[in-house]
Amino acid sequence: MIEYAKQEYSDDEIYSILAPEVREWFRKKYGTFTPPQKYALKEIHDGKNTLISSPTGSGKTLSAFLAAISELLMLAKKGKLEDRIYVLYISPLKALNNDIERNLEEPLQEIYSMHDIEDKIRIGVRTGDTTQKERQQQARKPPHIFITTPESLSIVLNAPKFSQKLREVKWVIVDEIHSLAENKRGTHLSLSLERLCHPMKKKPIRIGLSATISPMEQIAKFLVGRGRKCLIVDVNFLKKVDIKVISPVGSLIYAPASESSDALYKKLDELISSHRTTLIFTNTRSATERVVFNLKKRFEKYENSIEAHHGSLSREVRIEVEERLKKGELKCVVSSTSLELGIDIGYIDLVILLGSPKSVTRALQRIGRSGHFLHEVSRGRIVVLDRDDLVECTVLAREAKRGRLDRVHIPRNALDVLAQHIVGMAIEKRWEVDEALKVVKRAYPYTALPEKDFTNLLKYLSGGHEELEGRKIYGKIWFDEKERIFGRRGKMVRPIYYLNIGTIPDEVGIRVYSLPKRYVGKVEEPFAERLKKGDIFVLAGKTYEFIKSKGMRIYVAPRPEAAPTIPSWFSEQLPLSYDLAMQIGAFRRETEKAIKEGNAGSIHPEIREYFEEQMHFSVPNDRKIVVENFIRDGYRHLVFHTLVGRKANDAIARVFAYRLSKMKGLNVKLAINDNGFDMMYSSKKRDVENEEILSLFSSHNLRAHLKDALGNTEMLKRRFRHVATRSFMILKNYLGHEMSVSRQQRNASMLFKVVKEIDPDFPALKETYREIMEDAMDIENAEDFVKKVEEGKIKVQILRKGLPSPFSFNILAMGSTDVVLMEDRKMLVQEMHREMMEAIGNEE
Amino acid sequence: MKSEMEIWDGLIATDRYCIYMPEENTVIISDLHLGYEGVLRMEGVAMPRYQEKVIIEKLENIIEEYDPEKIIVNGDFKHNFGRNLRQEWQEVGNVLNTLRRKREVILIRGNHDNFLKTIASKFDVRMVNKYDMGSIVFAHGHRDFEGDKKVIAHEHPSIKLRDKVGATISLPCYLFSDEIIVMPAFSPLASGTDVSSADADDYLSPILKRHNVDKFRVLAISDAGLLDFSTVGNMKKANCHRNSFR
Repeated sequence: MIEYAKQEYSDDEIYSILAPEVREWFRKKYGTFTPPQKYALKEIHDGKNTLISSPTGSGKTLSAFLAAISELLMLAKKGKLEDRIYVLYISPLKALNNDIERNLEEPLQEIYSMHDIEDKIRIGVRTGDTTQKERQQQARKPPHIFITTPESLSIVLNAPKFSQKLREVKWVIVDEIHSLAENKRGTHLSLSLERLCHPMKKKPIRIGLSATISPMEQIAKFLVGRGRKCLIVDVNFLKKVDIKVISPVGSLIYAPASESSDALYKKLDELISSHRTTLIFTNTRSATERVVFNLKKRFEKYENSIEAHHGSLSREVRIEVEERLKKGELKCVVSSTSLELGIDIGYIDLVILLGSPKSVTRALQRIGRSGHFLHEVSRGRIVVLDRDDLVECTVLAREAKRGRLDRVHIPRNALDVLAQHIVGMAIEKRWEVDEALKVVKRAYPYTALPEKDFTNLLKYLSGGHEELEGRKIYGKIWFDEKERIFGRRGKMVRPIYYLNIGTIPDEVGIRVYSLPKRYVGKVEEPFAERLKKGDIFVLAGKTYEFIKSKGMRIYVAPRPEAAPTIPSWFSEQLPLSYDLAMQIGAFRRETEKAIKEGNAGSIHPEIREYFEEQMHFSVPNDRKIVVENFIRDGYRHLVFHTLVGRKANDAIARVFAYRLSKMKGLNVKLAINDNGFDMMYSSKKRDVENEEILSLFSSHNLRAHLKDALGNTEMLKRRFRHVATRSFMILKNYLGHEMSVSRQQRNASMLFKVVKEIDPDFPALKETYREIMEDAMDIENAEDFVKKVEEGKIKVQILRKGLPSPFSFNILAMGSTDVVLMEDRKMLVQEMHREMMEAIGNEE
Repeated sequence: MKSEMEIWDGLIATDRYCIYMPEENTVIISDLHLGYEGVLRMEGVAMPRYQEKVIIEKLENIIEEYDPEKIIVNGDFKHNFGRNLRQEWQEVGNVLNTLRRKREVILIRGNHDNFLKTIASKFDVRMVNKYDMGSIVFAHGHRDFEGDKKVIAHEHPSIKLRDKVGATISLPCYLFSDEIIVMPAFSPLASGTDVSSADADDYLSPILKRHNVDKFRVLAISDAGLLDFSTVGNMKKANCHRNSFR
């Protein structure tokens, strides 16, 4: 059903299917077709669903659109162009939508200037920014090519008149599909597409555009849904990629901090000045800020030619940066993730990755932003800052050269997104449960949805757990369980649906204003909570002093000369992928073997030195876990070298900390990084036996223990707020009243407490745990890993050397990230009380 | 584990969210906020009904423990400011029936109780603005009033504890000085003022606004019974002290 395109058509073959005007224009402008066009155009013309993955600058947009444009022009010439939508284009970014509109208008104008065609093809953009007036115009005279976002599409689907104009869409194009598939926006879109197609007699041709990703087959299935065919065009192999790992200092471990940052910025300057335009990716927003700040401070020439670009900056600031980049006014832009997607940013000839990008796929996507033409080489440099980074990036660069990508994770059976669509469907018409379920299960993320989950949602949405009187207010739909039909309840549901749809949670961002009243950007709530009067921090590459906070705002004053006192933000670190982690594990094993056998010649001297030091202890690898047990600074540390990817590691660490705290009745602190985790508790308490450590590796009740470990953590409460708003339990906007984020959170915490007591199987609760365990963490690989230990496929070695091994230094330096609370609330309260009284005692 | 503490002569604070006065054989509770879920629903939160069951259970335990002759509700018996919701009619009725059995019930008017009288009049219970008992005056506390010793509610005081790594837990509490007692809310849902971080203008009650609350003592209710947290001022200082080390 899913096949790779094998036939590369000739220019003549493709020209023969195009309208004469398009043929003439294309021949004049380009002369020949690009590889993705040669593989895809004819197939799309023949009506085949097609997923296209090809590098920047390979004519991707026209591969998707040209067949449609040609056909529309032929209709236009005959005067047969109707007032309806023929092409539906969906992309995750508003900015991308505007780019596409421009990129389509241009060829059309060029064709019109060569030929006199009376009927013009209309292009219309609909996003959250589209004005009421524009929308009305679109309803009266619908665009032939309709450009939109997943959110706006789901609103349009429920617009009584406008949705009629979508009934005979012939082409559906989903851009940047790789970035949608792995999150709930994509889940949402997959259901919208099935809802769109369900009543159509002739199903549209689906075309997906994707960056390099793996496995392609899965993305193809995501694009077309269950039981449909898809052709894959993957021409990424045509792009030459040049990746090098560089370390700015001679010795990553002994160079003093100031020396290594001097060397780092010297190296960056060297690279920037020897290229035309450089794009630097860091892994966190804070690092982005820091790099811009330092480059400007150290090199005067960059004062006006380097800027930051990340999601916390206001839209105006970001657009300005993009424009200046396009005009070639900037020498360098530093970004976290916001420039990963294909917004047009002009010519880039070098991409620098500062620190490991944590996944081969991400590395290639980022580096792919450079080298604008197909024949140009994409040039990427990964700058490593410590020895773990060096090992990781060495493996990463090797895997990237071999083209071994990490596998994508597509969320399954998300109940909150489904709840929204059930409400949307109910507004549309009256449904039989079986018919509705069939539509839902055609969407790839729901192919395995248990019927019980579906009917539970219907019950919840209809207020089925409430007594009759409560249902009127509670219920968003009615559901007749016996007859198995559902439909809309009341007139309020439609506005509720329009105003609350979408999957991106309102950010708990705290808005930062510089006095008297200029908006600067946003910081995260936990960061703002930590700020004290007089603290100096970096935002948008500038330094500010914290003055005061009020509600969800903080006020600051610019302090251009001052040094930041808050070194970094709570980082939104990228997780090391499972596949890369496995490769690093294998690399460790091979490297140790090579050193032992005296074949270490080809190994980087720093890596060799690092491994030789670790060999005094023991080198953990893909077949051996090392656990260290030692006392340091008043704490007993249990360092687990579990290299299974950050998300699986997160799950294992929390479960183990929970189990240990239960086993010993202690408060266990936990520090987690990509290479392992550290459990700490007061060294005054009893030691842990080796048997006890080994007993932690049990797959029995792993999921249940993770659930318990999540307890009342802030993470759980925050995620519950997201799920509750997504599933319309908390309406962000009810009858025109907007609920502030802090109020949403307060209500969510209250709901959480109540729902947990009343019904542990409540859909929103179930989904919260699923989202955390499956999407934010990786319970599947965690379970698999622990089972391998049980089966003896992975060995566990416990060390008691009294000293931490070199591989654990980075884990120890993490400090504590979270705490697994003692299960017994009573004891916890007493302990915290005692601590508090001690602090009061010290004060007096 | 301590579940009772005599904070004034003849006046006992308990971990059952009520004050007990043995001499008068009287129990005082406050801030039940019945019908809160209904109000949340009108704001767009799909909150199931929850409070009534919990509140009646708690009340029955109190009645069994102290068997009081008199029960005083120190304001905010119900939640909605405007007309009585159907939920309120039901729940206020049910709770009043639980309280009334062979006992005198006195309802002190709170700021949420605008329309309570319509319901209360059907049940033959007294509604007053304040209630004197010897030298002690009970009133809800949303307005200032005369009296040497005052017991007020309204504020829903609580404290927030934060451990070294940032996990937080919130506990309802009594605040008291020699002249004033602030009662904790009986409602299991209603949130209130975090006194461990509040400034003078954060307090809702005009009475607290003009007193130096930092001198008030804090008695928190937890699963481990009543916990004495010294004074508000000391808690704030200790919090500051810890923050500076973070």
